[in-house]
Amino acid sequence: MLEAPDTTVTSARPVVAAEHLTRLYGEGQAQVAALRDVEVAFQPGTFSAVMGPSGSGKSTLMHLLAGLDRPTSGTVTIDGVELNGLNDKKLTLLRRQKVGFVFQFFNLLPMLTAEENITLPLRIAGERVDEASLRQLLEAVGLADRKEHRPAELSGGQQQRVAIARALITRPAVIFADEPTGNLDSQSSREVLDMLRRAVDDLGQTIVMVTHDAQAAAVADRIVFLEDGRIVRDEGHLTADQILDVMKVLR
Amino acid sequence: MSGVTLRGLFSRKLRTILTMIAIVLGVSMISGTYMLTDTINTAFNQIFQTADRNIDAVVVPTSPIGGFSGGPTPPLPASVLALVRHTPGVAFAEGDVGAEASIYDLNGNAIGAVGGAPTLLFSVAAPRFRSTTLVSGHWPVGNQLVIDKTMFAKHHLHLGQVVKVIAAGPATRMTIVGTTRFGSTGNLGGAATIDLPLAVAQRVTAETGKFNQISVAAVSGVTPADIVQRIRAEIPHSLRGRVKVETGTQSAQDASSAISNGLQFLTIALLVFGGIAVFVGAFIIFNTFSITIAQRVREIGLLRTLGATRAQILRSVLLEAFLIGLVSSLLGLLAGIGLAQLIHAVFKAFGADLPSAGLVLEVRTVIVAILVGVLVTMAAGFVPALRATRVPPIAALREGAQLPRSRFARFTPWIAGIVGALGVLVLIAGVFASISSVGTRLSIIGAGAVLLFLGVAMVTPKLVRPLAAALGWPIERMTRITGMLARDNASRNPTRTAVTAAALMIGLALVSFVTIFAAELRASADAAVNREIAGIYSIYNDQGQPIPRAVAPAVARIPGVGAVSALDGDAARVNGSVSNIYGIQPSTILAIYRFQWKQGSDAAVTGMGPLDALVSDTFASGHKVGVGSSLRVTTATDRHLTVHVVGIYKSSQFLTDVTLRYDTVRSDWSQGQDEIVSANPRPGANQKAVQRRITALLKSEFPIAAVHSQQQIKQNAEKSVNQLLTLIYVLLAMSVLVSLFGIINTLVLSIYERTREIGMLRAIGTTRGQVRWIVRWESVITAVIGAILGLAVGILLAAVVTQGLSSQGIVFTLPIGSLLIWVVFAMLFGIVAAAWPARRAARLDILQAIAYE
Repeated sequence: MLEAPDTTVTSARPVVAAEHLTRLYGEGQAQVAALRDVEVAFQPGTFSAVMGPSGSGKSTLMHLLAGLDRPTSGTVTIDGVELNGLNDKKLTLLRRQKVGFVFQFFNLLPMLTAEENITLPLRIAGERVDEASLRQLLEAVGLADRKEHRPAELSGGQQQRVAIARALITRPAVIFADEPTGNLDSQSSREVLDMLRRAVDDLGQTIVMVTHDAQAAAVADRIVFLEDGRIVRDEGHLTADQILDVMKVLR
Repeated sequence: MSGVTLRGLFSRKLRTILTMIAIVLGVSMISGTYMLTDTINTAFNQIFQTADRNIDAVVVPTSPIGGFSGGPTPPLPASVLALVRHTPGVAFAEGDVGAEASIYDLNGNAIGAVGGAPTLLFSVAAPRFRSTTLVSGHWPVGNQLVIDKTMFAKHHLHLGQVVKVIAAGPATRMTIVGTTRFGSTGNLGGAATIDLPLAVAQRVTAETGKFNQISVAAVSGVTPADIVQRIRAEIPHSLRGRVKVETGTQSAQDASSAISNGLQFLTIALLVFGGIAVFVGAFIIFNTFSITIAQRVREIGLLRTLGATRAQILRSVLLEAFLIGLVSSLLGLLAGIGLAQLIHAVFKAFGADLPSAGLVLEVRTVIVAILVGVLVTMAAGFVPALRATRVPPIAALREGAQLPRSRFARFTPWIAGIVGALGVLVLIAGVFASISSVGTRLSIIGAGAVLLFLGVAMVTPKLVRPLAAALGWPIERMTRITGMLARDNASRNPTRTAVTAAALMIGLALVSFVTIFAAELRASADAAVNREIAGIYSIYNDQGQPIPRAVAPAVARIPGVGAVSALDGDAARVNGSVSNIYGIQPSTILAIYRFQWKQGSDAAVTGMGPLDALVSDTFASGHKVGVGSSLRVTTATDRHLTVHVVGIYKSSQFLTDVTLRYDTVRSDWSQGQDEIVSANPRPGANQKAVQRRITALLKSEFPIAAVHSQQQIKQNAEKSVNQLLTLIYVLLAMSVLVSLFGIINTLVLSIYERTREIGMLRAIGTTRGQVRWIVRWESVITAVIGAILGLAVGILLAAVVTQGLSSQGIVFTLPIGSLLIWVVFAMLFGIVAAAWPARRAARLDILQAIAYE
């Protein structure tokens, strides 16, 4: 398997941390608070799920934590770098180096092969592709024999595995997964979740996953529940049934 | 359904506007052309009406050789004036002189209209016929003249200033004693005018006792038509073919229709370039409709599930095309007004102050603009509309539904091949078939080119992937990821890229064709000078005006000058058709000109008798004559002679149809002046010093003429080719501009489709700069594909046309450097086209780009 990232230096502090995070949309009467004064931190090598009903602010939280959006107030720190004050270019380079993404709709480039999609982040960064670790990664996600296929020739589960490999290839400090099973059947969902779990266990990867799906959240080490822009529960590992019970209360 | 169409148009504002620009530009060129030429025609019409307003009848000479004779028509003898004056019913008749002339200040600097408008010399008309009004000073007496106030101001002249006037007669010093204006507005359509007393005017134009026009006023009670009839009756038989009598109104109409005939070439040329721009615009319309319909497949599927029939879908798309065409045409008309005024202003800036009587907007212009705009838009939208009708209702439910392929798609390569091959065949037919009318020949060549363009455009989708791969390779090597993604983006929808590139291809094919052709013309002019011109000094007028006969003897008297030979040219009727005839001096011509003999030799020149003639090979084959044949020649002065062919030379740009001895027809040239005087230095003389002496003589005595070395002749030829080339480039710029909007449009639509991809790329660390370069490189690849195809088609066109002109000494050449410049141009063009779409792509909000539905 791949080497685990060197976490000895950063073990003392969280990979991602948010302090007093508030995000307001609109102005005046029409102003809506998507997130109110949220404090949360994610430790290295952990698999966390963010859950909550629609409109609870979980997507907003992920966008802020990943440096895709800017908070109205409060701070986000990724791997020791505070995002406030970074201009678009610096923020982009930070995402390039420290953040990986897995999306609900896979978001692969249709004209590239699976292998080209996986190595895309390295190429964007202008870095050389290490053939040996690419091969290992392809093996790990079970796509060694599919690397020349284009997304249209792959199943949904296979496409999402390509997307996971794409997120892993730069060894980011954190991977944000946005409803990664939202568009998959249950068999493919299990495969994808298994793969994310192994990335954490085997590689020490940090993953933050936003999801609706109790089955998905049950794979995580920790589950953060949001409601009306606030963290209402912050639990360790729960089973799917326990999660559903919590969600019933929230709704 | 029409409500849906309308709302759709508004919600897709941006692409609707971009689409419309493609049609607006072409239509503006067409309507602007009409407005410009209509305005010029109307203005000249007013000028001639003013000039002839108090004249009941005019008597003018007509050319015995008929039609366009190349030179002015020989004047009327004084006996005709006497005849007219004795005609019953004539109250007053006067003879007038009117001719082209040149004016110089005493330092030899030209005073006159610039930008091609002539300087016209008139005899002062009797007060009742005058169309000019004195602005300052007094009417001239003796060696005095009045000049139009525009020229007076332009050249900072002053009353009392002495100038030199040169026409066919001796150069004469005259004093400016007044200024005039024409009618109520100003000058005579940009021409400079001077008025001289009749006798002086006759002397200066070497027409003593003769007139170019007789103006007649009838006694009251006699109508203009009556007086014309009466004068006609008085004209003796011997003069019938040489005199035309008509009313003043008819005369004005004749003059205006002569102007509009002259403008016809300009009108057609501008319309052709406008048509090319519209043709290019059609590609963009086709592409936009194809793309937007593909993007609306789900919407169309939804309409079908709601019960819309195929016919309704078809009507809805065609209505959209109709509305876009209509609005674009109207905007094109408006833009045409601006364009016509712009061209007018450009003419004015170059000194050709065309008369302006306010912009003329004829109903015909409006109708043509709307018809062209609407029909072209609907025709271009028809195939995409048909494909829209094939969207099944189920498309409403599918994610990323594709537009169904046309039923004919699998035949496309065959159709493309047939259309392209047909185009080449028509082209070859147009070039090589024996067609007498130049207009017909050019129309056939044009039709061939259009077919060729369509064929190549249809084949292009198959070429996009390999071309994009080849072009993308160096870019990818250079830029890595941005180049790679750009290449992949360019080739993921080959038809879209192909049609976008094809629009640019048309402009660049024509551009490279004229680039090659101009290089060939320059080379052939150089070769002709090297091959044929032996004279060291060539003396002629740069504007092509004739020079006085006194130049040759004066040059011969300069110390150090050896052989001097004068050459004259005119038009005459030879064996029934109007031909160019040249007068050469057999004793000296061989020293300054090398004949390229087809039959005969230099001995035929030295032994040339007064009734011997040399003809060109093209004339000989055209008229089926050979050595020993006799030719019937009728000169512009109505002299008839029969001459015998003693030699056949290869036609060149210096000597074409028929060459006679200078003294055979010397007294019968219509203008009594020389075209060119050529001279050589005496052996041992200092060549440069002799040239300086000739220059000094011309400057002081004959400022109308200038001496040119062989090198300068070549440079002048090159300059005129380059001027023409620049003009054509400017006219083609409109088509290229249309294709620029095509690229912008395609990029914007593609970026819209790829919003989510761009969002993903940005999320995983692609900088805005990288996103911009992805778009720019895609644009560059598309543009360069267009350029490569354009160059290929342009070279093919040039090769065929050159082959057809090989008898004229045109040899096929490939100016690789100049052509490569166009490829570089296409790259820059791509970057410019991408500027705004790239900015849009880079500014996309990442969150919106990756948001769920």
